[in-house]
Amino acid sequence: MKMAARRICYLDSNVLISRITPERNSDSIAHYLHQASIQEFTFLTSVLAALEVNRFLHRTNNPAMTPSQFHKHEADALAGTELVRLNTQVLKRASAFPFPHLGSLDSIHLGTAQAIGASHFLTRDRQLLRACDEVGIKTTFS
Amino acid sequence: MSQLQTKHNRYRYWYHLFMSMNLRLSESLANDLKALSKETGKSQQELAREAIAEYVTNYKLLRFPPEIRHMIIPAEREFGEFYSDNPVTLPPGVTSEEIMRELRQDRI
Repeated sequence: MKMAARRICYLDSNVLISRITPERNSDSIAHYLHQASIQEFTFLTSVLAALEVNRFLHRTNNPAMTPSQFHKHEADALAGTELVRLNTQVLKRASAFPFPHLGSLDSIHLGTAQAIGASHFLTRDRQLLRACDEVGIKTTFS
Repeated sequence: MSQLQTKHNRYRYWYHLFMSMNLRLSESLANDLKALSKETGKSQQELAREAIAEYVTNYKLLRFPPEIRHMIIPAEREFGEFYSDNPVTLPPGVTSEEIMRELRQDRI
């Protein structure tokens, strides 16, 4: 049986983190993700995001967090999101962006999204939103 | 407890822990499996389990175009609710945005 190819929505680390730290913008992100799931998007992110979620949890520096709670937070943030491996194809794309405002990690996220043919990119980050506009990846579902 | 009862209880434990199934194979596939088992030193059951696990993982990837399948690691869990039922407590006065900005501070 052949499955129909689905449209891809790339999720930045800050979107994944907003699932485990409900804050100011979390409701609008929840709304976007809901819209995307209605439209049958598949969610993907880089393995780098898994690392960033991990580093974020360490950075919260919460001594009361047990190892099992730590792993649960990681799993909650990444639930339903397929991971994309980091390879030379992604790094080549990341190196090719000419934007001076884009950092190395941002460029890896954007390069990954491009490499897998993402049509949408969800992020809370202004620099990445700007870069998505510049490469023609949509950032909203309206 | 008799030895027979102990054996029976052990069987029930294993039966409920792992799903059991009968698999009917063609003669040629059965022969190939037997040969592979001999060659690898793994049991036929072990090889069948590995093959099914690999198939199930790969099946999840069929929704993606063939040229990117090798790059993808399937999600371990379904999406479920947007919010975690047990959110992370941040240090007082600190937002997740600030922490993320720090983590990506290699910008101009």
